[in-house]
Order: sequence, then structure tokens, then C-alpha cells
Amino acid sequence: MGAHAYAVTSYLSGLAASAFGWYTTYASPSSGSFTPSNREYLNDAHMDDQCLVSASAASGMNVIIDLGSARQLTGVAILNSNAAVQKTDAAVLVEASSNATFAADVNVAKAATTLYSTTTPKNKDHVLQFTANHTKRYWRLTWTWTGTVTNFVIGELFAFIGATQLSRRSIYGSGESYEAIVSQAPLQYGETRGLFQAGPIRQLDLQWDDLTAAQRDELYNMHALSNFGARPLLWIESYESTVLAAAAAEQECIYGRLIKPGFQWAHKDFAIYQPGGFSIRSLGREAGA
Amino acid sequence: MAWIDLLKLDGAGFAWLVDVSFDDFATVAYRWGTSSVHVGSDHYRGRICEGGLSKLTRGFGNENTVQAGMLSLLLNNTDLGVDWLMDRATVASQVFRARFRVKLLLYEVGNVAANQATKTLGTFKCIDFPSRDSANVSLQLSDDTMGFFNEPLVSPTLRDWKDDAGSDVDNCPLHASYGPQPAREWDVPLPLAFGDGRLDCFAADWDHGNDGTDGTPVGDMDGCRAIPVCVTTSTDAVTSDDVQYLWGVYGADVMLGTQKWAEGAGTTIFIPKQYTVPADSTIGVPGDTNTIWEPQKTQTISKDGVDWKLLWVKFNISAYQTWFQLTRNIVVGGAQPNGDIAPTANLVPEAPVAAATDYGKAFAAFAYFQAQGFPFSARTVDSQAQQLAPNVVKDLISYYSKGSSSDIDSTRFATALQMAPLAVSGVVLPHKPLESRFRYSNQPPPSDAITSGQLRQALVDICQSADLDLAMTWDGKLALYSSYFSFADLTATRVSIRETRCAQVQERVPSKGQRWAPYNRVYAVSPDGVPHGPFDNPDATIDWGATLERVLQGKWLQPFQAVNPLYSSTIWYSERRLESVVRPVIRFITDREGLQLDLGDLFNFTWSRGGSSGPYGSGAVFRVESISVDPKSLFVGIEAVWVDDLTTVNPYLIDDEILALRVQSSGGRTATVVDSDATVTFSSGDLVANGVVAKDVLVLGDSTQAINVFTRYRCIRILSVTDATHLELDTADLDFDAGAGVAVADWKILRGKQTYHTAVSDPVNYPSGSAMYGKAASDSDVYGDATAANVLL
Repeated sequence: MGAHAYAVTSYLSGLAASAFGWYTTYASPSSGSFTPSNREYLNDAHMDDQCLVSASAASGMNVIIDLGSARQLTGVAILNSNAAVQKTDAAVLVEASSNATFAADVNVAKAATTLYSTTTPKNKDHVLQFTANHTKRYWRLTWTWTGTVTNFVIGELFAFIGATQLSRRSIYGSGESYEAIVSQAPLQYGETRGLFQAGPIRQLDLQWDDLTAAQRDELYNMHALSNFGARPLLWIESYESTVLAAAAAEQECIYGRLIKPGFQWAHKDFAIYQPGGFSIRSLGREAGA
Repeated sequence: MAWIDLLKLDGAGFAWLVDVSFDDFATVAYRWGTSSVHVGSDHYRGRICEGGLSKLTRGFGNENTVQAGMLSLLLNNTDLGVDWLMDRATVASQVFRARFRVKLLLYEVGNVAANQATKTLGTFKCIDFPSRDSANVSLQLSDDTMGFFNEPLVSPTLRDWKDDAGSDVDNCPLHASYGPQPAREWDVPLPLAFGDGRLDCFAADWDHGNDGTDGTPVGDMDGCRAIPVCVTTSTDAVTSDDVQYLWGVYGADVMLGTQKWAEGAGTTIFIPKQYTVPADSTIGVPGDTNTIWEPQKTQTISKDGVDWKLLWVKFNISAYQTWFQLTRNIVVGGAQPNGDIAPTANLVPEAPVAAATDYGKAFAAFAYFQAQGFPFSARTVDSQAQQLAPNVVKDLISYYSKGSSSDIDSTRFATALQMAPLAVSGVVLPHKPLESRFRYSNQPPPSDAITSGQLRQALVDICQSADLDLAMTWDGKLALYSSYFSFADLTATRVSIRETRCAQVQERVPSKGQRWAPYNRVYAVSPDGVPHGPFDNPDATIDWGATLERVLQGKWLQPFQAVNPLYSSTIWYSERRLESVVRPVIRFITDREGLQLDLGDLFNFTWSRGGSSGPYGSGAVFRVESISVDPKSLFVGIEAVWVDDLTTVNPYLIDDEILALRVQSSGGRTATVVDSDATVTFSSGDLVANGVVAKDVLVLGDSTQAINVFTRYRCIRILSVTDATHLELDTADLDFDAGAGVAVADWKILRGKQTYHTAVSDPVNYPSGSAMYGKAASDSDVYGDATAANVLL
């Protein structure tokens, strides 16, 4: 298990929708192209607004992202997507190139990684972390699976450079909770009718203790960089930096907000600090998620 | 999955959606939701805050017209995405015209894309400016009706006509060449008129600078004046029916010479279109046929994107003067003509003696005119000189408001037309000009006997006059409801609501002044605003031991028959149908299945209060009066009035010909006929058991014979039934083209005129007291005795 890490800046934000070019096959991008009408949802910092890629998505579908200039990405999160919900063998390959069509200079940044597919809603959010080996303008994600994915959607793509690691992991007492938004309408004669609106919504409750000043400041910086919850952050449960395919634990992430707009700490002993805990709550998902 | 199935699906998912449009939903500019979701090919962005949508309501208003539904909406603006609602520039260009359509999305959880359905639950507009704080924008919305149906379209004015490029000296008496005297009423929007009431009209200009005969002829309108009648969006050419009759009303100060003309002052005279000068007349040209007035329509005048025509009367003053002189022996506005006609006088308003050619003076003797015609501004007409209330409401919304025919629930309007076909007449935007130069202070004001206010007030008056309710359905369409029920209402499958799925059930009897308050005495207010009555329900007044009044508004009712004993009438097609019935109103909340109902719908409601002694333990029929939905729980609040007597009081009599069938051929059962033999032999079956009796009718339809050979293709009365398989025919014509006998395969036996149903023989299908038309009905159109129902046929 690696260190916790986080990222607050997505290097995809600000890109125009036209920066995302979707292609059905690797070999002939020009002949099989199509344009989702809602590509702008890929980088709008909303997981709930999903880009509907295809009503019936075949294996090999890929997107080429034009960053505008060469950048040395170290990871990309694919958030609120349903490929691994429907397929246990859904995998993603990350490549980088200086060639807009990947006709040449194709570099594997992250080997094809089978996406974690077991527990909802973790199977909708995945992060792929890799080594800072490639400084390229064009990046390509290629999905493969058996058969087709119905209504293949992606809520958000989040690409980052150098996720910030924390020196300490959270302690015992930390945990995770799930909440659903359900309306219950009681009637006379004992009947209650239920209505579903959303959920489960993930929340991490993290506890920390016995930190040094430097470790404490790492947490403070995380709060400050995320504007104390005003700005969503990508929380990475287990940091890694490799071109090899990721294990399930290294894909785990949560894209959410710090739910308390503040940070405080107390002396516990000389030069030992107790910042208390904080919680990160996932951004919401689409209706019926 | 259909909407209704998702509604009943337990654990279904839901989201509220809002479409925002600036062009009446030709396109949708924004799509918001309580959560983000794809609906078909549309994406809704989650923007409505938690608790940011208030309760939605629909209801019948106390004034028989739309009760405006209000809605508040709180939108997340942390991404600055709805700042346009507050920015000064876009408030002016977008917010005022924005319409907000609210929909409820239901879906199967886990299968959203495949199993989803939406229902529109209202269309709204901003009634107040939005407000915003650092994170949210708050909107206060109201039903469209607050804006769209409050005012009629801006109609053309006389100045628009005068200045229109198509107006010239030959078609417009206001053309500058005639030197018309500008008046302030030239800028009054011209009225809309409906029905066959007398419509008050004013002259466009009493005086001209040039009248042709004074030496400056310029065109076809010389010596003529325009009397504007009404405007219409119909581009049909003018016909003689457009204005059929014209009356002139003299001013109270009209003079005869130097004396007040007591006989004529303030009186109304009928003015014919034409007259013929008698052959021996010394006035005019003997034998000539002169036209005093004729209806005219202007060229199409476009205003604010709408094409209009003005209906007006071209009034020839010279012809009028001659006619008046011929018929009344009075010279109108002139010196004594040749001949021995007395008295010599002038008929002008308070003024010195004028020359005969002073047409302005002669014309100004009239205070105003009254016109009667057809169809005026109406676009939907059922018969000559009769415009029915539902059609007038439909026309006002479809053609004379900012709405359109797509804003109308055509089915509900059609039903209302069946149930409340009362004729109405009146004016929208009545022309009430300021004093003209020839109207004097002691002249009577324009009559407002059949006039009304602006569009919303006109709709109120029409609905109140015809016992209609105008309301908005869930999907934002305007619907018209009669308080009486159609046959379709009675026979439709009704939604059942059980008390086990309800809460907070309450019942009350409406108080005086409220909808459905019981009454046993009415006052009928005539179109001129005068209450008539009281008219009492002779039974209920005594039985109740108290008098409960109700005022019946009749401002648009035409003809108005205040003298009729209204309570005794059950004729709904020409009069209002009154009752003295206590109708309780219930109120309860139920689960989301209540969304199956809309305003005016009938449903069965059971209320046993946990036992068998409840007031509606076995169910009763109610009619939805108001409905609301809580956006969080989807609890539906319903208020409804008891109408369980709909099938027992004045039910519909359905004269179903199938009921007349005794038996018909089937299973190879043939009827054999033989020439010159009155006996018919049936191959099987039992005629007695089939109920066949003497005077029934045997109908032969032998398909092996040509249909124009009437020997085995005819109806024959039965003389008697001999036994199970034989009967005797009651006819001398026994030519069947069947010398050796022919077995006819196609036949049936029907009840005959003398064996038809009566209320005694078949009280189930022909109940006494049914509402029906035809000869079998009483004078009150009630089927009330044992008269054979086939008299109807």
C-alpha cells in the first residue's frame, strides 16, 4: 500500500471540447471518427454531467487528447464511467505521442490496466498513475473489453502532473461511508412508499494523529490548495509511479470536496500535533446512479 | 416502461427537470435538473438546489378562470452558469421572454437510459426579477397565464389604417385628401367583437374638410363616413353578412331647426342598407335604388407581426338624408327641398341651421351607431349568428392573445363545447373614445351593455356567463371544463383512489361564495349589469328552511332570458342548468399515483374510516378541483367535489340499435321462405326463447341475391310466432323468388316499432328521466315516460 496522494489541478480543464477526438479504432482514426455532442462534459469538473460516448461502444474505442502543448503527465483519473460496471475485463491503455494521429512516436505511459469492477460506486472511478517519462502534446486512452458497453459514459477525465504525496497515512478510526438520497412517504394504514434520487454517495472520514509540523503542514496545504472545499480534489488512496498495469488498490480514488471549510490542529506533545480528522465527500453523480 | 408503470413502480427513481426557452420552446436554451441526467438525447445539468423547488399546484379559480400556480426555484450558481438571469443586459433580452417548463422524470433505478418517462407539470414565467447571493440564484415563477393571457394582442388603430401604405382615396375615408379631423380615438386600439349582440360603434370622423359635393371631389369616399366595427385576424374578403343591420342613435341634443327634437333625441333608428325612391317621389331621383351603407374591410394591416383587417361601415350621408326625408318628412341638415314637404327643419346636433351639403353636421346628429353582423372577429363559428362560448374562448386564446392554438387542450375544449354550447356575445377592448368634437356633454355615454374589459376579464366574463371553468392542465395547456358531464365522462374508466393510500382526509361543505356552495335562490345578472330575480328553487327553498343565494353572471350571455324560471330548465344547450344540491368537497394527500389525475378528472374515492360505516365506504365519484405535488416526496394533494349523482340525475339515454336485436343468424341457422307462403321455417334454435314476439321484424339479407332485388332482401313484420322454429309473416307480398323454397343464411329479427323498448320494459337502458333529444322527450328534453324510445330514430 502506497502513500496517500492528492491532486487539485487537472491539466484538461480549460481545453475546448474539440481537444477530445474520439476514434473507434486505433488503425484508422480518420475513417471511423464520430463526435459526441457533449464532449464538454469530459472536463467540466462535474462528475454528474456525463459525456455519452456511444450507445453501443465497441472494444478499441479511444480518445486522443490534444493538450495544446507538450506536458509531462503522471496520471489520469477516469471518473463516473460505466465501463467497469458492465464489464469485468474492461481495460484502459494510456499512450503519449507528439503525433496528432499517433501514426508515429507512440509511447506507452501506462500499460493496459484492467479496471477494478467489484464494488459500486468504486467501480466507476479509477486513477491510473505512471512515471513522468513522457512530455508529449497528444495523449491517448484506449478502452478494450469483450463485447460492447451499452451507453458508454464518462463523467470526468482528470489528468495531473505530480500528485502530491502525504508522508503519513491516516490512522485507525478512519473509515468510509455510503449514503443514498431516498424519499420515504408514509401513508395512513402503515404504507410507506419509497423514491430513489441518488446514491450511494461515497465519503472518506480520515483521522490523523501524532504528526510532525511538516506532516501537519502537508495536510494544511492540501486544504489550502483545494480552497477548503470550494474546489474539488482527486484523492488517491495509494500512490504509485510505474508504467506497469495498476493493481486494484492503486486505482482507488475519490473525486470530491473537503466537507468542512476549515483546518485546525492542537498540540498533543512537544512538536507533536493532532489535526483531528477531515472528510472528503464524493461529488454527486447523475440521476439514478 | 410507460409513465403510469413507472409511477406505480416501487422504489422508482425520479428527478425534476426544467427546460428554459426564449422562443416558446421552438428551441430549448438551458436544461436543468435536480440531478444531472440524460433524457433521450437531451442532457440536463444538475443545478436545482436541494429543497430548491417549491410545491406545484393547479386549481380551478373562484372566478371560473385560471388560478395562477406559483413556483419558486433555487439554482446553484457556483459555476456562474446562471448569472444571465441577473445580468442587466440579459434580463432585458432574455429573462422577460423566458419560459420555464417543469417536468418530472421517473426511471427504473439501474436502468435509467432504457426505462424512463417524463411528464410535464407546468410552464411558467418570471413574475418577479430573480435575485442572487454568492452561490445561488432564486426565481419566482408563475403560470404563463399571468402574462400570455392577460392582454389581447395590440390591435390596429384608426391611425394605423389611415397611415397604411394600402390606404388611398378610394378605400379610406380617412385619407389625407379628405381633410379628416384628427381625433384622439384614432389611437385607440380597435375592439374585438363576438356574437350577435348589437355592437356599439363610433364614427371615425364626424367632420371632413372635403365632402366632394362642396366642390373638391377626390375619390370614391366622397360624402361618406367610416364607422369602424371591429378588427379581425381573418383575411377573408368582406361579405354582406359581415354587417347585416345598422342602427343610429341620435344624440340627446339633436335639434330640429332651432328647437330640440324631442321625438328623436336619444332614440335609436334602424337604418336600412338600401332603399328605392318611389316613382312619384318629388324627393331624390324616382326609381333609383340608393345605398345608405355597406360593410367594408380594409386591406390587410400588419401590426407587431400579426395581419389584421378592420371591418367598417361605409356610410353615405347623402343617401341617408334622402331616405330620412322620404320616410320621416324631415330634411336632414339642409334647407327645405322642393315640394310640399313639411315640416321644414334641420336634424343636426345643437348648432345653427346648416346647409344641406354640410354632411358633417348631419352625420354628427348621431351619438353613436349599433351594428349587428356575423362573424365579426370570430374565427370558429358553428352557425350563422351564433357563437358559442367555448369557441369564443378558443378564438381569443388562439388568434388574439400571445398564445396559440398549441396552448389549447383541444379535447377538453371539444367536450366543453358539447356540454355548454351557450351562445355569447360581447366585446374585448371596447372602444370607449374620448369626447369627439361633435359629442356634447349631455349626450349619453357609450353603452357598455355588451362590452367587457381586457382579455383576462373577458375570459372571466365569458366563463362565468356560460358556467365554464378555464384552467391550466399539468402540461401547461389551457383547458375548458363544463360543470356537467359528457357521455364519455360517464362511461370512461376512472382511477380509483383508496383511503389506504391516503392521509389527512378532510371533508367539508363549501361555504357561501365558495365554489360548489349549495344554493336554492339565484339572481341573474344581465349583460347590462342589472341583477334580475330572485328565482327560487320551489322545492329546496321550503325543504332547506333557509335561503342560500347565488349570483349568476351573464355579462356575455346572448340571448339573455332573465324571465325564465331557470330552475325548471334542464336544457343545457340554450340555458344554464341550475340545481340545489349539497356537494361536499374532500381534501386529502395520496401517493404519486395521484399524478394520474388532472384538473376536472373524475375518480372513485373510498373512505371507510377503517370500517364499513364510512361516508364513502363503497366508493363515490369525485371531480378534481385542485391538485398539488410535493417535489420531495411526490405526495399529491387533491381537493375534489362530490359528483356521485352524475349517473343517476339526468343520465344519458343511449339509443343503441344493438339493443333492438332479438336474434340473428349464426351457426348455420337458416330461415327458409317459400313463394306464396307466409310461414318461415327456421332450421334450428328456439324463437320463443329468443324473445321473438308478434310485431317484431324479420330482416332478410340473402347475400346470394342482388341487393336491388327486394324479394329476399327486405324487412317484414311478424304476425305471430307459431313455435320454436316457425313464424307467420304479416304481409301480402309473398314473392321471395323461391318457388321451391330458399334457405336464407343471412337474417336477423329486430324489435319493431310496436315492440320497442320503453322506460317500463327496459328501465336499465332507458331510464325514466334520461336526458335526450327527440320526439320521445318532454318539453324539457327529458325522457320521462313509457313512450317507445324508437320514436327517436
